Amino acid sequence: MSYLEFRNVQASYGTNPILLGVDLDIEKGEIVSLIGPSGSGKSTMLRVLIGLTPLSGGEIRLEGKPIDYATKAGLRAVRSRMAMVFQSFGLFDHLTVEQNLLLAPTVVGKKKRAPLLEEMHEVLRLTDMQGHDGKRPPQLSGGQKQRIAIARALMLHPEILLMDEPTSALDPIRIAAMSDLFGKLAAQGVTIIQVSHNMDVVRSLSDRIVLMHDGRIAATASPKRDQDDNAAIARFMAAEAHQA
Amino acid sequence: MQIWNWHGFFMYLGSGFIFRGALVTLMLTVFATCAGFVLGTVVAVMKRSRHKGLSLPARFYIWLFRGTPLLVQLIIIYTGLPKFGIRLDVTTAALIGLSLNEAAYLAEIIRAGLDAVSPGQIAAARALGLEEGQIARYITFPQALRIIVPPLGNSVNGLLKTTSITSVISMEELLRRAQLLVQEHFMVLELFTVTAIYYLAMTSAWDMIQRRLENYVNRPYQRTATPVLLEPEANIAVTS
Ligand SMILES: Nc1ncnc2c1ncn2[C@@H]1O[C@H](COP(=O)(O)OP(=O)(O)OP(=O)(O)O)[C@@H](O)[C@H]1O
Ligand SMILES: [Mg+2]
Repeated sequence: MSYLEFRNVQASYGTNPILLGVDLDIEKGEIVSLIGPSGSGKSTMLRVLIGLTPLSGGEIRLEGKPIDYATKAGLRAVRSRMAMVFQSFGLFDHLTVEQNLLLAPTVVGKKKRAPLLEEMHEVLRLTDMQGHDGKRPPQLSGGQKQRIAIARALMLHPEILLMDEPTSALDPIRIAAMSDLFGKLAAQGVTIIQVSHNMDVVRSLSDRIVLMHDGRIAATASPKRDQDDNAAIARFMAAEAHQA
Repeated sequence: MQIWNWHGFFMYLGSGFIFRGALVTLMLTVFATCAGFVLGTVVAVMKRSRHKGLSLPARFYIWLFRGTPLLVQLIIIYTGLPKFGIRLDVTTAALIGLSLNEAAYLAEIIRAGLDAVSPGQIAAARALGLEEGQIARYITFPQALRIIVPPLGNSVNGLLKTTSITSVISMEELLRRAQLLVQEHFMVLELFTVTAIYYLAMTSAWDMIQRRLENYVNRPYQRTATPVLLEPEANIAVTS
């Protein structure tokens, strides 16, 4: 039994089938990178996992138990263990950075504000965003927004961290710093599933690379263990790296 | 015959009869705005629903009340409903007619405000674990209000004057009372100048309130924003 198991996972938007039966096993503390062409279903994988897009078939098991997305209690339970960084950030424009970071911990987590403020400053330091807590998202640059989105997810202390292209707007120095941070989180037992088009990050960070194609897993590879990458993955990564 | 009678002008300006008429106008406006906002919010939420059983009645309601003159609606409510055994006094009929009509207009304004909040923020809020009611309260409504307040202000300004239409079912608001007084001394110009002054005073007062409202809903967007939203909630969270 693996920590997180996808079993014949299917999903569709309306009548459009998007995921056509995905099987994937993920271990605790692993960093899994989803790669693949645009529209292949990478974001949908993350959305399904956190219950934003319903499964139309199959199931996802967490520590052996099927996740119950159909009931409020089930959704609450699964969302309390995960956090997600969105491709388009999803920051709340009318709230300050501080309010963005504290909203869920106070309203959902019912935690006290004073200790949270301390945590917030720590998280802002980790994402190199200290001193920006009074600003609102429209006043931030793209890369700053992205780091606030990461900071907001970290405030939830997730067991599983889902990140949709979390370094797409960052400069090389920040990418290195964030990769370092993700590596440390994984070493502490946080399971990370990220979507990325940055093949350097994918290669250096991933325990496993999953290549998606047309709603299916086309290939997987473990760059840290296998000497020879899977041929299909190597080809895709070479093509992506060439594009960038 | 005089062109302008100052004595008559000041007599009407100080008239308690006219003043109380203006108070009735004010009361009709405040009530119809509040009731219209509550009902309009319900209709707007229904119209945005994915369920046809909710969105279709909302569409029909808006279509009906925006597609017919308030005058006609008032007459049907006041004279038509009694034929079905529903007897309403003038004030009740006026309040109902104005509120139903206002709700249809406000529903469209509120819907536009709710639509303006990006789906990405709603998805993020769900992923953070917020429930639908909390999302409405902390995310959707505060942002929608900022969009809603300017057109809402126009609507209230219009309503202040539109209430005069209730005079057709002999609601004794400002205009009706002026019409009644005309027959006394036939000082038409003086009387209606006073009436205009009352309307101007009320719309000007509303302009001031609207500016404050706009500042209030824009406060989170100003540069030196102080965290206003989480403070009381954090306290509630602590005690619960
Ligand atoms: N809300 C939606 N409604 C309808 N179709 C959608 C929706 N979101 C995504 N899709 C479709 O689902 C498919 C998979 O989308 P997904 O976002 O998972 O792709 P992706 O692999 O993340 O692509 P990218 O690299 O461009 O982000 C696409 O064909 C897309 O058009
Ligand atoms: Mg995507």
